[in-house]
Amino acid sequence: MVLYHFLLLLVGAHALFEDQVGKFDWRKQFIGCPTQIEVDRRGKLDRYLMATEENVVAALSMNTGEIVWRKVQEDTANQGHRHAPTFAGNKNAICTVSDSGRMLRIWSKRDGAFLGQLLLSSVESPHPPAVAIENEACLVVAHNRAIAVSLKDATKLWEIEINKSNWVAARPHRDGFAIVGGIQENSEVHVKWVDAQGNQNLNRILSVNSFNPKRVTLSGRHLLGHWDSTLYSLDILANGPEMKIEVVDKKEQILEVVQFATEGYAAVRTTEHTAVLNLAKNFAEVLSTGKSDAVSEFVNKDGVQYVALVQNHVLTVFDLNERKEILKQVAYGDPTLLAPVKKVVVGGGDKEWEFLVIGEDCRMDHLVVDLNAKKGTTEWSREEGLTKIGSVEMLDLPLSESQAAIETEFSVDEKNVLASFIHRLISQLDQFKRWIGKSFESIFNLALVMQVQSSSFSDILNSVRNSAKSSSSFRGYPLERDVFNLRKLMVVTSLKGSIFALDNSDGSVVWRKYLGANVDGLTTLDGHHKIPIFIQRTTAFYNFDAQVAVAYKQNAATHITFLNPMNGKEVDHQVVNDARRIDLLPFVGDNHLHSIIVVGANKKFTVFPSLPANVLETAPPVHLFDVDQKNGKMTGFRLDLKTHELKETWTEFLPQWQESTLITISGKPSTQRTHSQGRVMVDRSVLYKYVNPNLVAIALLGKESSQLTVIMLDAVTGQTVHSARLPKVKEPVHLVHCENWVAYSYWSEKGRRTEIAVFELFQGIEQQHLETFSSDEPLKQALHVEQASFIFSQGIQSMAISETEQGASNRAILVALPFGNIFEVNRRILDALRPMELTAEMREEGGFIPYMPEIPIATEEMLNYNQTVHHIQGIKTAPSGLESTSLVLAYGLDMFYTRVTPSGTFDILKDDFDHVFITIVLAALILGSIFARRMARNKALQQQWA
Amino acid sequence: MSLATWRLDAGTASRSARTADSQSYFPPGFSPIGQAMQQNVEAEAAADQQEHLMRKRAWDVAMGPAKSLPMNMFMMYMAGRSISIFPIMMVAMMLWRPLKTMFSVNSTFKPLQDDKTGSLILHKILFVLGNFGVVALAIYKVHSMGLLPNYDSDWLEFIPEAQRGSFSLSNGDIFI
Repeated sequence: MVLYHFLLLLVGAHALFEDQVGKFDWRKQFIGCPTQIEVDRRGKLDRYLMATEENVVAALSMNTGEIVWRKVQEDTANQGHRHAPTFAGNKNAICTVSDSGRMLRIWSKRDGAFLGQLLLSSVESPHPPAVAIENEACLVVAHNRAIAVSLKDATKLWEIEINKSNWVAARPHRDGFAIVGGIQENSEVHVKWVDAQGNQNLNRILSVNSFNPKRVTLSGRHLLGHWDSTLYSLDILANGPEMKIEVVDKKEQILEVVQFATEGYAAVRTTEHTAVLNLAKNFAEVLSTGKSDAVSEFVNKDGVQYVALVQNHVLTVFDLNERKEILKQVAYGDPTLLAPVKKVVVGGGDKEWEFLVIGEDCRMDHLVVDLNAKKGTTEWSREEGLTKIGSVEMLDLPLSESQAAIETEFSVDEKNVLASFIHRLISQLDQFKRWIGKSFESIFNLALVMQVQSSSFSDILNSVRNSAKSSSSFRGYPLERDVFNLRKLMVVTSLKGSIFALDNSDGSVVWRKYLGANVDGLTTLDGHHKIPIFIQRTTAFYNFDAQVAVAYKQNAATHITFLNPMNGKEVDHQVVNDARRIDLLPFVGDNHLHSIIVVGANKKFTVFPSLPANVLETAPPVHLFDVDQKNGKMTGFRLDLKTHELKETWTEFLPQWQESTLITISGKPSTQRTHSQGRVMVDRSVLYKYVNPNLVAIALLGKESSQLTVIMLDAVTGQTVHSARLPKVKEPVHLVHCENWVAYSYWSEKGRRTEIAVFELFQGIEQQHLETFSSDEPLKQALHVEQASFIFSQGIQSMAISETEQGASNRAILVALPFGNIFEVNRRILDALRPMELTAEMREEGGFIPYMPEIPIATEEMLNYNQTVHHIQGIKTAPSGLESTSLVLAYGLDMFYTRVTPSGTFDILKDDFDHVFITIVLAALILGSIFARRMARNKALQQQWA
Repeated sequence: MSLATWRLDAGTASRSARTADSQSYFPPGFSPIGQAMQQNVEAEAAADQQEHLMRKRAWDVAMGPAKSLPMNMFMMYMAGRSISIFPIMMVAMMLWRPLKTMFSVNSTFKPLQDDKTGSLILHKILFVLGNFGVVALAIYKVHSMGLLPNYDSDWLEFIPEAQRGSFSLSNGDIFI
């Protein structure tokens, strides 16, 4: 116990002080892409109630778009998750079915308080669940059962079996429920009418001749089924046959049937027009011609029925009673930036209309339209696409104007002395001018700060110190690099089809770009979806713009778009048919631009942009490898840059491929630096690291054998450098690979706990690769491998390693925990060379932490203190200009950004540095020395007189 | 010749300085009268004894540093191996003092330089060697404190990162 506390003292000195909360970090909370939206106008605050793809139920304020309450349920990433959550609500409560029909929960509508839950099943429901609410009971149809649950405490009231179905619908009917179900492509519809006590009043099978729809909608007592260009309506309570509704030509396709809240009404959208259906009269009224994007109904307090329609970012509202257009063709936003609308909800309408428009990329825009206005104003928007991130890169901001001016000055090679002198003078004048401007601005800002806060001296000093980096808080500043390069631009791709650039100082969106319809991520061999970003040129070159390439799938083809990351302008666009590998070539062509290489399945590759001949001549050999997903055959290739062909160099089979799942293939980022080439032993000898840049870590988990295999493979020679096998291992497995070590976490069946294992590769006590590292050169001696494993008392959702500029600081392993924290483990703790026992020499040398099986989990090491972040899917780290500081972005349902300093802030003054004290001491010393000098002079004079 | 070639009689000097203005430029304690009062106290019989004493004294000076070695060793032992201000100061002094004295060997032996004592070269060599001994002791102490950069580990941070001979695109994903 004493030792444990001692260890905490050693490493746990990075906790945040209370006044640092929110200083370096920010959190953004999201809810995900909504699947069901309802408007709640009861109570003081109007709000939107939503169930989302991320299994979240939330209420958003209609005025601000902020989350009033949010209930995060099971993580969708963990297990099979086919059915979106659905809910039904009455005045006070809402009843949600989530986790693919596994769980029913009841929430209070006003504040989201949890009222009760019922586990419906431990498996996924075979059909999408349906839910209805009536009086004090909530009815769920899932797992071919209808279960009524009390709204007060979620106790089961009654349960009945229904016929086997693959679609179901339920709705309240005369103090009971009407339940409809059926099997697609089967001409039977089962109808049940159950009263509040669970007695089946009606139980019949309607057999229909042509009712085999793809989609079914229940609207009042009418069941609507449609496929291709046929629409049928069936009165479930009458005995009659289905009716065909004649709204659709043979040429048209039905896109969607929209259920209205008013019984007996629905809308149908086709490729050619939009119509409102009056089902009681079996009558359709065409509202508009041309393909619309979304349609929605709204009933005001007086019972007047309106229909809102969105067509290419233009809103139209019809009054169904008066049969006239209320709002005509109101445009909103910038259509070039926005994705097509997929859903519209009318928040309120009277003199002022409120709409919530949801785009294909899950952006929500809340619009307010005046009755006479020509254009709608966007009151708030939310980027829910950021819950499905395809990848993140952090980019340096461009050099500031003055930094660039200095660069230009030195790049001008003028022979004329006078001309360069004049140039010098002009640029210095320019710098002076800029400095004056900046100082005035900062003085003004300081005055503002002093006015706003009755702040202490240290606060003012801090604001002066931070003024350089917090310039983002004053909007309209150009994007430019700060002194320590802490401010970066984060380029984020969303699997919903958008690219975002976020400012890392506050997470605000700098620009966004919608990629187009049907955009999907590229599927990787280890089963992830990614929209990778490649940094072709950084902002280090003042006379060239930075450039990134983004690769994504659209309509079965792979698209690569080349952009300037600072403003989102597209530079080029390429489409390739098949892309097995996409990567950056390690050397630059013209204009400092790294080319993108796209390897196809036919052992050919293309390079964008193509490299000039002189670069090809001097290019070092480039290797890559491929894994055949059928038999696990790995093939190594060398690129022949002249003929654009792959030359096979080696083949290797991954062991037990058929019965294993590939966890990851993890190389090392080419920008990673290793500052220290060895580890110092207690006898002061050096164990040299085996830092092989071509090393790849491959992790395979046997499905039946539950054996975890980690293989370290040289991608150039195909040689297995090291392999480790662990029996009795279960998922989740996470692996990180860095410098000369690999850390992986797994669930140990034997110990029934999560463990983290580390192994490190060393060359031994003699260094072999001094100046250049070549994989072809055989190792003089066998690799020295050190390993250790540790108990981690929490689950692990994601793992990452901190990155610093030179790689000299300690590394930290960042672990996302399932309960919403991000934990920082210093590498000194997760170290394979921790001695079993401290010897006297070790104690004398210091700096050794004896091995202890547990990794202590201290709350000070939680990066996000009390800012819980849910369902973290990935952590991105990037170096800053300060060697001590690494920037961290954790993303998932929430987004959290902060800085980590694993070795402490050794290169910057601490936040609590006592400026007042040091200033007073300095001033006192200066005054004292002046005074003493005068005294001494006086005394000397007196002595001379005496 | 005696070690004391002159004698200071402050009484006579000051007296004469006060009385005779013309003599005031003589340094205090010096007076022509005092010089005149100088007595040759040597006796022919004591001359041998004097020479013997001189030689002994020269040897004492030459052996001084070597003699101080055991004491220094003990001091260094007592100082301990911990790296804190006092041991560091002691070691630094121990290193600095003999180095300084080594550069002033001639001035140390100057008073002993005489025709009668003969050549002092052997003494000087011994003196320097003794000082070297002290320096060596100090260096050993620094070494035992771990302050000497004589291990590979001390130069580890200066080893540059190896350049890449061949490149592999190993960090990218394989897409299916």
